[in-house]
This record gives sequence, C-alpha cells and structure tokens, in this order.
Amino acid sequence: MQENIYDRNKNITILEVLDRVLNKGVVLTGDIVISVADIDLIYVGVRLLLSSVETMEKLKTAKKTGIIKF
Amino acid sequence: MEKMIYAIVDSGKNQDGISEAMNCVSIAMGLPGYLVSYKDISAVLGILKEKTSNVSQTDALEYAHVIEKLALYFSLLPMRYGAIVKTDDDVRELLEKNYEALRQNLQKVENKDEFSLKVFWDYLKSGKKIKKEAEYADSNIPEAMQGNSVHKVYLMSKLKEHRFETMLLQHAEQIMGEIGRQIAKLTPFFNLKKMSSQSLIIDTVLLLEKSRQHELIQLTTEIQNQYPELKLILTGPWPPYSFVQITLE
Repeated sequence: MQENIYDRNKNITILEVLDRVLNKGVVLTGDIVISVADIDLIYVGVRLLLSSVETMEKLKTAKKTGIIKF
Repeated sequence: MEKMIYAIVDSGKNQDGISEAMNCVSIAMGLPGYLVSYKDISAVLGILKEKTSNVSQTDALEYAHVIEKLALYFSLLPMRYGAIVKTDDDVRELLEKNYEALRQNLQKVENKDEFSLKVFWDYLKSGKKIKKEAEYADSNIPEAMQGNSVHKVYLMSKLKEHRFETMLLQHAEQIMGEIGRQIAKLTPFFNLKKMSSQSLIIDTVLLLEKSRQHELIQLTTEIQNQYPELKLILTGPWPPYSFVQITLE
C-alpha cells in the first residue's frame, strides 16, 4: 500500500518537473538557437502521464462504487 | 561545439559560490559549466559532448536537477529546455540586449520559491453530498410540471438534473473562491486555473518568500481538514519556472 502511494507521488513529481522544464522558463528564439529534436515526443509523454493520473483517480473511485465515468 | 544555456543568474551577489555551482553542471554534462557575464548577471552554460539529436526524458530530468542545484547558490531565471547556442559572443550580446528585463525578473524572484497546489475532487463523492440538498429543492416543483404524463416526467427529470448540476457547480465555486482568497493573503504572485478538468478543480502556482514556506504548508493542512473530501497535492519548492515569462531574441 505504502509503495503504491510512493509510486503515484513519484509519477506526479516527474510530471511536474517535465512540465516545467519543457513548457515554462525563459524562452530563447531567433537565429542563435539550434533547436533540439524530439522535444515534442517527450511532451506527448507528459500529457499521457497527466491522463494516467486522472484515469487512476477514476479507477480508484470505480473500485469503491463499481461505476467508471469517462 | 554546441552549448546549452541552463539559467540566467544574479552572479553579482554570490561570487564565492560560482565554482561550486559550476561543478553541478559537470555532474550532468561531464565537463564543468562556465559563466558568460554582462555587468552583474550571467548565463550558466554547459558544453555538449555530442549533438542532441535524441533527447530522452532522463536528459530533461538531469537538466532540471542542475537548475535546482544552481538555485541553491543564486537567484535565477531558469531557461526552457532546448536553449542551445554556438558561441559565447551570442550569449553575451543576448544579456546586453535584454539586461533591463532580466534584472527586473531577477529582482522579482529574489528570495522566493515556486510552489504548486493542485486540488482534486471526487465528482461522485461530492455529488452524493449535494444530492441530499438537491432532493430538498426538488420538493419545490412548479405545479404545471407535476403529473405522470411522459413529457412531464421527462421535463421533471431534466429540471432535477439541472438543479443538481447547478448546486454542484456552486459548491465547487465556493471552494475555489475560499482557497483563492487564502492564497492571495500569502502572496500577490499566483496563477490560479479553475476547473482544468472534471476532477482537477484548482491548479495553481505561486511564488512565495522562502521564509513563508511553513505558512503555505499550514494553510494546505487547514484546507485539507476543512474539506476532507478533496485531494490536495502540494509540490515545491521549485525554481521559479512559471514566473519568468520572457522571450529572449
């Protein structure tokens, strides 16, 4: 049980870190920047993680009530 | 050779910590980091060993780790991942051109940390609580809608559904308003997004004086006690990623 809680919190923290690093902070544009490839792919990963947190919450509710709402 | 910019730091205030801070970069990059300065502000750079064609989640996490370490030594403005440049002269020019904006932002974040507070609610559980109140309101049905005909039964069920949803929304608004007011007492620097999804009712980031961290933890505990049906997730302290909305050209 404790391990489950730990895993979930770890996932949420990773999600928060990636969201900040990839989506926030000072943005550099213009000719001097060399763009980094595949950032979009990581960001898709973040969105999936966010969905999985919400799904997890729904499944937890469903376990108690027997109803899943999406 | 390509170089990654990690952050813009207020280097004028902590000359002693510079060499230690640069070692943080070497842990991630293999080579020590270095500063490119203009007046009292500097960019922290690391030399990339190889071309960054494939970026992994681990790379992004390591990047965040370096910024977190740098924040122990300096007031800083974190760069969004992917700021890679070719020459130091470009960076120096960038600092010179944007000096005033960078200095203002550094002052804004000085001695402050970012925190995130997410408030989730269980739609079904909260709905159950509200349903009882909605049932009481159901006794007050207009006479014209009372009856057993098919269309009256249909209209009645729609009216009940509407009343229930309105009450649920009012309840959510009340909680959101209360939490928003409490956060505003702690700091003027916060962004609060309401109802990002059906379960995430508040998603807020705030910039708080380092010395007031315990007040935020206390506030979160109080809110949790007041609304046991909610799930609160407080994370931080973070470097001020969400409060440095500037674009450098």
